[in-house]
Amino acid sequence: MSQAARSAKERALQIVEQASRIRIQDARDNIGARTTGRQLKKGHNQMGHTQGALERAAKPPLGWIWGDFFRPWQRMYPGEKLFNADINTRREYIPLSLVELARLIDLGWINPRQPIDISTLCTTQKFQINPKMRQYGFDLTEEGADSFPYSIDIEVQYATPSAIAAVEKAGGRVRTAYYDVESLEAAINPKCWFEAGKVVPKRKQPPQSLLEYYMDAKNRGYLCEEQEIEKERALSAQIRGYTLPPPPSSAALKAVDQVFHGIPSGSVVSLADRKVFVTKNELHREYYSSRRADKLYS
Amino acid sequence: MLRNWRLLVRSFATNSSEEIAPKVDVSFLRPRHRIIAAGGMPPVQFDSERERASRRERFGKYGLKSGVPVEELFPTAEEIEEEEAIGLFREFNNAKKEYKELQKKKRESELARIAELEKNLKKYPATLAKYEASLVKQEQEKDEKEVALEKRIRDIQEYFGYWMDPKDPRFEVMLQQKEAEEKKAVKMAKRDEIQKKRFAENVQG
Repeated sequence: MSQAARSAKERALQIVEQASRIRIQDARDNIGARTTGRQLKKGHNQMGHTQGALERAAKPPLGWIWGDFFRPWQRMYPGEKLFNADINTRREYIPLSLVELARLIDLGWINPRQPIDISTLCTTQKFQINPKMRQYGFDLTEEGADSFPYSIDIEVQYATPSAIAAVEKAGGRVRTAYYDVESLEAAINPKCWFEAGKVVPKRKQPPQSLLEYYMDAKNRGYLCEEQEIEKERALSAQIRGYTLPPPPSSAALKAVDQVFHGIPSGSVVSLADRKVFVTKNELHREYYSSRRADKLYS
Repeated sequence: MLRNWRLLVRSFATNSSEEIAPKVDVSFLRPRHRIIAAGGMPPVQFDSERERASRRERFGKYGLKSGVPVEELFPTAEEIEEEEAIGLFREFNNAKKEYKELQKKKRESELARIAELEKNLKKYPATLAKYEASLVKQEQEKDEKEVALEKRIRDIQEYFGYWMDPKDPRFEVMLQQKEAEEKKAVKMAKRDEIQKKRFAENVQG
């Protein structure tokens, strides 16, 4: 029978007949899927407990110099003293790339027609922010800046100039704003905060060390004047060589001390009644209207 | 429980005679939890529920229906005074003022530096000419000792065949060697002179 005349079934059957049997060796990990760590056995569990055990150990710990228990290699040559010196106090920002942001919008997690802030991003359950671990919000990075398609109104805590330019090129708006710890806890989980019956906190001003960043129009800080930001916006477009689209329909920005859009600070939200209660007491009005700078980790 | 068993027995036994059997709740939920399961608001029963945080939470969950007055949710005057007394936060106007003063001071120092730079730039040609003239003058006024030292250094460098830093240890060794040679030459010259003198005396005698 000629080659063309045979049916597909016969050819498939022939292929199956000639194939080898699947063996257990054929089930293998991908290359690089596993790493070889130190193989600790029961007899090695005693290493490092006593000096004698250290001297006789088959695999002594790293940096061990024979015979000298109190002078390991790491203590003799400690390396750069100031490296990571501030690891206990510095702030941490969760990176949010433009690619990830576009992906979340594509998949429907985020509505690009509404303002995007910490509450919006944390409600998607894709990001975990722990204020107790000095995580202070989001860092908008420029990955995917060449083809960001959405015109968004986003508020982050840190943004690179390229990311800012990419968002503004697409017709959007970027603001960088500081959240203190209490406001951050409220913004991360608003439902939990409202159901606890707590007062919507007043967002504190940034500490001394961050004041320069948020008062700089290049960073689109929320403490700047709008005219300066417009000037920097035009300058950025001129420098990077793109034409600014018409300015977006100016949705109201948050006030400097406001945590949620549309809800004034110093109010109580009742989800069951769908009402917002604002105090009429003069003491509370004065307390919630004064602008206080945060002292933490300044 | 026994009453429930009777109801169960009755519902099974009299199924054909009675039209409607009464519903039997066998979940054994407490009344509080039955209310919660039905979506209602449980009554205040425990002491922990009468505390302020629990009352706030009750308002948060059930709203105005909970009966908690709204003014209780806001901080009291004592709390506000305590916070201000502790001084956890500082006035933003003060912080902004300090920042602006710092910026102004920095800007002023920068402007002063630039002004001084421009002034020096204007005087630069005259200063340069003056400096070059002083160099020439300095070259002319060099005394013999410096000339000798420079000559010695130049000789040593020529001996090595390439430029060498005067601070090099080999340079130091060669310098001492040169000094020793010069001293020896002086001594030899003196001795030759003496010999010449004696020779002259011998010739006359």
